[in-house]
Amino acid sequence: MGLNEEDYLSSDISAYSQEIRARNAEYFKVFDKVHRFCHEKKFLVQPHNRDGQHVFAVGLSVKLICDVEAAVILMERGLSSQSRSMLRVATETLIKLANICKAYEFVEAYIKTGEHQRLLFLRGMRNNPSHAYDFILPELTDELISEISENASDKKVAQWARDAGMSDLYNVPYRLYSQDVHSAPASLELYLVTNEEGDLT
Amino acid sequence: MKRATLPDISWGPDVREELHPELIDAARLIILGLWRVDPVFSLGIRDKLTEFTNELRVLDAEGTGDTSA
Repeated sequence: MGLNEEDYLSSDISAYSQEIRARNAEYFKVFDKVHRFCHEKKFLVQPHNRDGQHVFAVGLSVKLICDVEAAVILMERGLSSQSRSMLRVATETLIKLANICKAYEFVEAYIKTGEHQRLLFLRGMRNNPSHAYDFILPELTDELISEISENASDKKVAQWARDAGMSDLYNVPYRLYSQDVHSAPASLELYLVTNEEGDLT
Repeated sequence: MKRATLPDISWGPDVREELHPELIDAARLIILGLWRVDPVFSLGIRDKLTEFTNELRVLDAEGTGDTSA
C-alpha cells in the first residue's frame, strides 16, 4: 500500500527521503560529518557512578545526540513540524546538559526538578476523577506526597538557559520550535494548503 | 478538505526546497553539547568543534543569502 493508504508509515516514503536529502545535499553532508564525529567521541566518555555530575552529563549528552538523530529522521521523511518539535526537545536537553557541566550545584537542582515533576504526576493521579488509577491510590499517601514535596523544587527552562549563558538559544530557536510542540496556529501551515483563491484544498 | 493523489500531493511529505535552518540547528546542538561536555571528561576536541562551528556559520550565511560571514 502507498502513501494514500499508509501515509508516512508507507515504504513509499523512502523515495521522498532520497528527494529531500538530494535537495538539501550540501547541508546533510555537513550534518552527517558533524554527527559522525560527535557520535564517535561519545565513546571516549568514561563516567563513573560515584559522581552525579558525570552520570547526568553522560545521560544528557547521549540523549541529546539521540534527540537530534530523531529530529533528522523525521526531517528526511518530510515530517518537518514533528522534527522541529524534536529540535525543541534537543534544545532543552542541551540547556540542562550545559548547566550540569557548568557546576556541581546544578546536579542537586536537576534532581529537585525531577522530584517536582514526580510530585505533579502523583498529585494528578490522586486528583483524577477517573477510576483508572484506583489501584494505586492507597500507595499515594500524604506522607509520600509530603516527603517528595520537601525535596522538590521547580525551575523554568528560561532560568536554566540564563544560568548556562544560553538565553539566546532559549529566546529564538527554543521559542520558535515550541510552536510545533504546542500545536500553535503557525505549526498548522503545512496542513492547511490553499489554492490561488485562498480556499483550502 | 480532500486528499490529492500522488504525485501531485497537497498533503503528505514536506519536500521544501530548504531544510538548512533545521539541519544547521541540529548540527549546532550536538556541537554545543560536546563543547560543554569536553572539560568534564577531558576530551580535548574543542578545536575540531570550533572548526565545525565556523563551517556551519559559512553554510548558514550562504543559505540565508548573508555574505558577511
